[in-house]
Amino acid sequence: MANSANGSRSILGVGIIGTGLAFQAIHARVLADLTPLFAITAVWDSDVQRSAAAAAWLDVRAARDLDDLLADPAVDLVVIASPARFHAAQAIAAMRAGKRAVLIEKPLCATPDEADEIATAARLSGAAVLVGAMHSSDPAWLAAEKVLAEANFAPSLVRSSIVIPPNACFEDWATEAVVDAQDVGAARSPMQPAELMRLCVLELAIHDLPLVRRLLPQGAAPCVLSARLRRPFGYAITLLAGGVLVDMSAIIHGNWETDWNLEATASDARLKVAFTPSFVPAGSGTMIWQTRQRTIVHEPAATNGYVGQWEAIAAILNGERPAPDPCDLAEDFRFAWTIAEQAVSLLEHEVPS
Amino acid sequence: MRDVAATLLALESMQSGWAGGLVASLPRSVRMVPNGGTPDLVLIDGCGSWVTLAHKWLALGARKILVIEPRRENSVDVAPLAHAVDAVGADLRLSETFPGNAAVASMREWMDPNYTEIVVNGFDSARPTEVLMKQLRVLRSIGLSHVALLQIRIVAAAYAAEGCAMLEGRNVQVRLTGAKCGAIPPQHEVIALSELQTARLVVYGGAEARPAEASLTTPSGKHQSPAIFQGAHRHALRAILQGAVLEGGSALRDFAEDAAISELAETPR
Repeated sequence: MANSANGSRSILGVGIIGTGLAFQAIHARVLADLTPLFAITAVWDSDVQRSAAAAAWLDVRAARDLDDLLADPAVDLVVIASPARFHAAQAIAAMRAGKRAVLIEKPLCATPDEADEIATAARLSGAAVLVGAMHSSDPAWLAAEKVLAEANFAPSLVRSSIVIPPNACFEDWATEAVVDAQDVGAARSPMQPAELMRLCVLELAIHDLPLVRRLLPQGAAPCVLSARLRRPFGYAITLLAGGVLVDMSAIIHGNWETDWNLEATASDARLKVAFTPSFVPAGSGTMIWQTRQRTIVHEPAATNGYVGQWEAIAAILNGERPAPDPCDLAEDFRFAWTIAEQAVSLLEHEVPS
Repeated sequence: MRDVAATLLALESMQSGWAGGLVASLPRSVRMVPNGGTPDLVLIDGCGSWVTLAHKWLALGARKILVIEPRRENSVDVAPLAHAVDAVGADLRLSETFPGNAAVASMREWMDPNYTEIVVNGFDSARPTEVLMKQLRVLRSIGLSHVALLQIRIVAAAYAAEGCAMLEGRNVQVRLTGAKCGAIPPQHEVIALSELQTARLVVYGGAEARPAEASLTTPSGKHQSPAIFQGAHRHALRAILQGAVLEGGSALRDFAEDAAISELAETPR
């Protein structure tokens, strides 16, 4: 832990692995808000220019490499905001280096085997692992979880529906890129449909998939019934899991409207959570729970899921609450990955019209 | 004293009371026909055997018939009724809570070929296939035709379907979901998606005159239609009293097509 002003070691030192827009727009800003609970003490990015720029901006140390960052005793926990294919190796290295917590930006990793390896490393090291998907910590969803814990809710239909403008709008409202994306080789060739579908599920749908899984019978495995891509960007997937129909859809369109909902309907009750968009500190979502007897509404709160997940880390490291079960996180990933792969398979077997 | 212009109305209903308020809401325009009299208009409650009743009234000489909230009848029974209506030059209309809501007109006005996908979702106290039928009727009311559901999955209390339809001569994707929910009043939402515009209609059940919400979002802002506190049945009754355009049996033919689609959804595949 870093030293606080009175000499006690109560401030949690944060090391940043990957200094792209997710780190800049989300974590740097939230951690600044949560001072003196946390302090960023070191950063590292595989792109040296971006690493140096982030270090200069925050006035912290730019680590030479990952090992250098993980060996730093001023780093109590790490944020992994690198591309998903590096998550598992970096998270496991952090836990083996004795870091107390690892916050991994969604998705957890790239394959189910990696998810299991992360879970094993977490169990062996005792480190807390959290996945940076803000809806799981959104006060509106937490209010829903509280209601669901007391209800015998068995929905027949679950819908995750996302209608949003392009991310660039929200990134611009949240931060300024310390280094322009094109300067770190972000230009890419057009994606093939299979790659696009994986991106849709593992980067966009995944915000709500752990929540969807909570609404399904325990252990329900997904069976994708239909899947297609939407233009200009998005997806429409229908699946069946544990006898429940799940309708997942998203579109990133060209107007300004944001409409991000998770709904579940049973014959005797209905749950709806309306979320705020990513990146911006627009407060929490709203939750409405309706039965014949009563209606419970969670009005928008001032804080959102980004703040919630960092508060959760502080509470876990202070011993005030348990860490998430790493096996459950691995199962969340397996659920999402299975949907992505089944959706890709359906796309590939589609006969062109 | 009877207004000389009042329409004499006969009522066919197994339920008590439902039409009393409707008729009473138009005190100058409508009177119940005296026993033995010839009605100008027949109101038929759609929860009963309305096809049979409509045939009966056509045979008795009725030339204006309004069926209120018609339940899904066998499609092969509905088609002959359409022929019978046309054969005698009668006007038979269907009044349905959701597709008949006054705000549907705004949504229909906004529909253009730039929309690439129409999404419908909702819940109702009815069985999933009846919910599907209501949603097909809503799609029809906003101007879609030739709906073909290419994939449909029904579980105990919900359904999800994907397909296509025609909108102003162009093919459009349709995606529908519905669930049975008796806990709260029914609700159906239609969202029309294009790259730059989103048109949205939310229709509510549970109270006759609860306004639907219709809005059009464009890059420059959002237009919200005014709230209209008049339910579909009163709206339909006024339209038929005003004579408007003779519909003949065309509404019945559309209804039969939608019924056939939802019947097909019930067929195990």
